[in-house]
Amino acid sequence: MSLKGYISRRAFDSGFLLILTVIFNFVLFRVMPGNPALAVLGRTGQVRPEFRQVLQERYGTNLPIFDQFIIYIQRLLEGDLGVSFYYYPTEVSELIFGHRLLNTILLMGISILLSFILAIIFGTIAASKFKSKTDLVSIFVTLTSYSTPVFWLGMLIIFYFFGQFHLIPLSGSPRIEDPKYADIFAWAIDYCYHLIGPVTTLTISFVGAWFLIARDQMLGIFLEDYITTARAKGLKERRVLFTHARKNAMLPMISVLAMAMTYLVSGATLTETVFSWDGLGLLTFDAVTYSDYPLLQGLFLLVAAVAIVSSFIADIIYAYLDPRIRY
Amino acid sequence: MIMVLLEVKNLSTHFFLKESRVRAVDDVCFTIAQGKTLGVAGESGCGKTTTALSIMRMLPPAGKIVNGEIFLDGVDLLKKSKEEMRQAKWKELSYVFQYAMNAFNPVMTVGEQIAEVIIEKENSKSKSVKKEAWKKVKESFEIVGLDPDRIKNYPHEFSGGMKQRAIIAMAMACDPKLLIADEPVTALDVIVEKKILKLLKEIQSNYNLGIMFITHDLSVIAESCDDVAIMYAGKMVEVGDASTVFHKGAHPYTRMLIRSFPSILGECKRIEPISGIPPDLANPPPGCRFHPRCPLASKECREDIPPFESFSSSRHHVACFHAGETIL
Amino acid sequence: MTISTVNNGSGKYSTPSIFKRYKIRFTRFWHLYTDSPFGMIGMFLVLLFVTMGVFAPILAPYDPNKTMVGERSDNPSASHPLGTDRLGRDIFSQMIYGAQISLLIGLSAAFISLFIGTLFGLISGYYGGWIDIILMRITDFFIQLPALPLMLVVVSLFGGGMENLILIIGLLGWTGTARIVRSETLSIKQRAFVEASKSVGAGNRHIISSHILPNVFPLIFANAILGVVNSIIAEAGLSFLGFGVVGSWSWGRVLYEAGRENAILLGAWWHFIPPGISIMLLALGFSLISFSLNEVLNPRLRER
Repeated sequence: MSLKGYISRRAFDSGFLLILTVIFNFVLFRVMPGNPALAVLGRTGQVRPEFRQVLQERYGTNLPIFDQFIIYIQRLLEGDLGVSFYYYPTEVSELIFGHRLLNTILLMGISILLSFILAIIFGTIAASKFKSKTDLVSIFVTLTSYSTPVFWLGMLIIFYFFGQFHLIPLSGSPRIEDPKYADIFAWAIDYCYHLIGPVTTLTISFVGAWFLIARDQMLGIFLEDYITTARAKGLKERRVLFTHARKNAMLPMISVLAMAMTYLVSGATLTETVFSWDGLGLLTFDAVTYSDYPLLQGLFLLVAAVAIVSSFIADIIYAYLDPRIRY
Repeated sequence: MIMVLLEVKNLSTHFFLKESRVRAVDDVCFTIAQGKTLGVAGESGCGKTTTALSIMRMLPPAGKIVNGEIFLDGVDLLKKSKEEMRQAKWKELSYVFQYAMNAFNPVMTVGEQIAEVIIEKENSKSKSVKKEAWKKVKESFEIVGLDPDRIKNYPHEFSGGMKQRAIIAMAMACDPKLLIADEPVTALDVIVEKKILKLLKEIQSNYNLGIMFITHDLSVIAESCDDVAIMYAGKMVEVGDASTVFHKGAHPYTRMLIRSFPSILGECKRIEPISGIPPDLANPPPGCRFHPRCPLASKECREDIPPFESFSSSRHHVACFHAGETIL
Repeated sequence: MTISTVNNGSGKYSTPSIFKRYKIRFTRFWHLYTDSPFGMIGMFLVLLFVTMGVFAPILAPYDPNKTMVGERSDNPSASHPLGTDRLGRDIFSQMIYGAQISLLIGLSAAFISLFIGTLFGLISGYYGGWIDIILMRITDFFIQLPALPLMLVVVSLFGGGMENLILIIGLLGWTGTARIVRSETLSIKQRAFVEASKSVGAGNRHIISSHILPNVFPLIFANAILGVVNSIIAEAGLSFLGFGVVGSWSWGRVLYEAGRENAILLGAWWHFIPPGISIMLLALGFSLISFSLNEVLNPRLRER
């Protein structure tokens, strides 16, 4: 099959999956007995009659389920994700697509990039020294970091680097609107300063998860005949490792990266909670805590859409990089 | 005057495993003359590939060269530093691997993989070097009979025979003096095999190339080699020119090996397998390693290791106390 | 080289009984496993915490829920090795009991994941075609979803409680197993003994249960243990956010209480360092076991 044919088939698959997700999203939040608004009332104990009003107006919650679905789809196509219960009367889309999205993308983007590079470098080195001391020590260290709960790591970092050594700020994410910043640079510097803690936490945790994948890929590739050939050719070891081996090891790592793209918008709930980083992860936590269903629904949809799109893109890159795959 | 290209003296390569020491190659001597082909034959596991890998200094981590000298053009390869050896590879000696089907990296074009080695050996990344390299890639494709327009193709777009040609093109890219070919035609069908053997012969006579040709197939050796070396259980048992070894083979193993191969043109006779199995090299039998399977074995054979001595001529060496004796 | 036949003394070679074959296999496996220091450290750690969980009622000096009015927020002392929380409950006892919940949830959730993942992987890999495409698309989708937010959503929809927590963690953790089982099944399906079995007319169910499952089992096993690690960490995270099992003490809950009492800022290391280290060590124990098993059992790694 040509590359074009492959792309169009995968595009069709992804579209189908997207539709399924929308349906799933609709159903999931309507499986509770009765009206979601009632559930909210029951949980929080606060009587907010305007909710029922809003739900009926916007989503026709008094109508049969099929009509509700039609209205839901129509609203969705208009880009309307509903009104948050907790932050009423703020729109869900306003909550998601604002400074929180930016905060999360910056935090996750930097951490993912750093961890990805570190995991590949360490993985390659460990694999090239298979079963040496370096290899065993790095395996032990990464297994330990894999086994460490990320939020506890964050707590430790706060305890030592804020509490004992005063190297990082306690928590929070500076907002540019804050009047205490004279100009954008002052804000940017303080922002980076606040990023150190959560980025370190996430990077340690991601490297723990990805190092072994990278090492395993490399080991598999070192057994391949073309690596033996490359060595026989007397190429510099650096070229063997980082041109011949890496190109092939990169392929499965792309799936890892695609998976990480989802974190880019889902945020790291635990890390953001520990560091009070005002991102989408913290927003998810709030939405769950206050049973803010419209908000949860919106977040879920965003994450699922990004998941589907990034896996689609990953497949295309994969097919582009590996000429054998265009089946 | 025959100019010696490669001289291997008393080479011993052992594998150090957890609980044992496998004597994969033990005290092996042979030479390859310039522009000539030496065929190395023997059963699987007799140390052919290990010998070749020792020459390339590409043994797996457990393997160590414990003794010996390997002179290529008068220079001992074993005395070279890692870096010197790396530079010598492909420029002085190149290797065609067993299972050549996977020798090319699937995500790089064939041309790229040939060009990279030429560029690296030039030690410069200037535009002219790169241009020159690609020109050489095209030439090398022509030499091995491939369409030069296909240098930008990926390995999976080549057939088995084409890949084998491309590998030979790659091996010749830096004009080496010695080519080690480890079972280069085993995976190919007979017709392609013939063509590849013919190609190797042509290249050899054009470039005065020495070839070490490893195979377990005696008919391939008979067809393409000037000299023959027979290995058994990590030992060299007989070396000589092809007609001497095939017609006047002196070591019982050589003769039994030849008898166990069917001949298409010769008279129709029963082929005779060699009974028994090769010894465990972690624990080889004392004396001659072939004695448990040898019909001529005597007390001497069980106790002493037979010396590797010249037999009928100065270029014919045999390691056997009963060399030339008739087998009943 | 594997010698699959033994000489039974009469000069003829025969295949040993199934029991003997498994015994030989297991002995060989056990020798390889005990050779690995990682595996032994892992086993030691896990056994340590299993003992702690099983004998919690004997080992714990106090009832973890018992509030002692005069001893609120105490520093570590001889009577309370790790101090007390703001309600005067003994933190050391909470830690001891924590092993029970972590092990219970970790093991049972991993078992659910293992079951679903194996089923998905076997069916997908064995039958192929459309079934494979559909099942693998579903798997891919679940792999991409971030697990923790999804668990939070489900917990908030259906409520916490031990059974729910186990189900949720188990139901969202099967994807890795499914993929591994599928690819193993695909490769085993093409081996000669499966072909042979088919050619004598064996049914699909027979082939799956007597040829494919026994061969993929070792890998499933190594993977399932990694599932325990993931489940333990997921439980800790959920409990830390306050969505854990109400009424019983897990290490995640101790950390949740520590967070509520501002233990970090107050410098009360005894409240949040020991439970974190316990989670880490127990998870590390299982990770090490899984890693060593994989080294021993994974055919690709064994080649070296």
